[in-house]
Amino acid sequence: MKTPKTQPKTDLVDLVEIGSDGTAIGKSTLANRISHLYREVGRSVTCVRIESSRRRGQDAGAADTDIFIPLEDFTTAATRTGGLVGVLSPMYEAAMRIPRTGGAVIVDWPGGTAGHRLEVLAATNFDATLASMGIRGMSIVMTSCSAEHMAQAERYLKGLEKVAPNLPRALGLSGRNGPFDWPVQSEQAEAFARLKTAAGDIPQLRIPLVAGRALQVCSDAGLDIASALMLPFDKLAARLGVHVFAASACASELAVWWQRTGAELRKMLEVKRADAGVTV
Amino acid sequence: MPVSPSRLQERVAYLVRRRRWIEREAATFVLDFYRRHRRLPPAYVTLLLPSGTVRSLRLRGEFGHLLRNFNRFSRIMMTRAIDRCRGRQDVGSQDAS
Repeated sequence: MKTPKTQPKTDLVDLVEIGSDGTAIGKSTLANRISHLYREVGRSVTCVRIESSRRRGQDAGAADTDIFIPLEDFTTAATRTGGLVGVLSPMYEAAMRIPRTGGAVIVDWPGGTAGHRLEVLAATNFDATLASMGIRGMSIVMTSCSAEHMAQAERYLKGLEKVAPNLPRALGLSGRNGPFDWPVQSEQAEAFARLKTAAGDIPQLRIPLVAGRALQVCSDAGLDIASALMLPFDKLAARLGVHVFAASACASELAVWWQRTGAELRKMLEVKRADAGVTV
Repeated sequence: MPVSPSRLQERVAYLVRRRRWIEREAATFVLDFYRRHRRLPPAYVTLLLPSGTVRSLRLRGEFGHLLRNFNRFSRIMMTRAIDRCRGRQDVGSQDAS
C-alpha cells in the first residue's frame, strides 16, 4: 500500500522583532500579517506590542495571545528593578516559553525606540541568549522611501550588527509612502544606495502599498484588515459609507495585498532563509 | 476573537477570484458613478482600470452632462418660442375680430 505523501510543514523562525526609528511606516500592519501567517501554518503565536497606551486595543485579535507593554513605562524604567529590561520582562517571559510550547513570538517595537532596543539587546546579550535556548530569531528593520527613514534604518542595521551580530537581520521596504524609485543622484537614491550597502546580503522584504488607500479607509472606519476581509460586502459598504461595488473593490484590493505579503513573508521567515542574515 | 485561519484563507481566495469580475464591471460602475455624482469613485475602484480608460470615461461623463444641459436649454427655448408664437397669433386674431 502506498503511503500518502504529506506536505512538509513550513518551518518558520520562532521569534520575530519588527522595529524602525521612524513612525507610520507599517510595522504594526506587518506584525499583524505575520501573526496571521503563523496561525495559517498551525503555530500558536504571541504578539508583544510595545506601544503608547492611547493605541491600546487597536489591531488586537491577530494573535492567539496579545501582550501589551505601554511605552510610557519606558520613562519609569529607572525606578524599576532591572531598569528597561524589567519593563520588558513580559516579552522575555513570552520568549522563554517558546521551547516549551512550540509557539512563536512577534514583537512590535514602536517608532523612535531604536536606541532603547539596542541598549536592551546589548544588556541581555540577546542573540547569545536566544541561541542557548535553541530559539531561532529574526530582527526586521523597516524603512519607507523617505531619505530620513532610510538613513535611520542604515544606522539601526549597523547598530544591530555591532550589538547582536548573531541575530539574523532583515530589511523591510515598506511601500506605504511611495515606491523605492527615484532619479539617479537624487538624495533618496543616494540614501537608498547607502542603506543597501549597510544591509549587504541580508534578506530584503518588499511590502507593497495597498492601492487606492483601501487600508487607510478601513482603518479610519475602525476596521483592521482581517475584519475588513471577512465582512460581507453590504456590511462593509455600510461601515465605509460607499456603494456595495466599491466595498467589494476595496476588499479585493486588501486580499491581493494579503496574498502578496504572505508569500513574501513565508519565503523570508523560513528557517533556511532566516539564517542568511547572520554575521559570522 | 481571532478569525479562523482557514476561513480567512478561503475568503481571501474568493476575493481574489471575484476581482476578475469586479475589473470587468468597473468601467460601467465608474461611468454611472460619474453621471450621478459628477466625480470619480474612490481610488481603489479607479485603479482597477487603466488611467486612459478612466480619463475617457470621465470625458464621456462630462459630454453626457453637457448634452443633457443643452437638451434642457433647447427645450426651454423651444417652449418660449412656441409661447411667443401663440401670443402673436392671439393678438392677430383679436385684431381681426
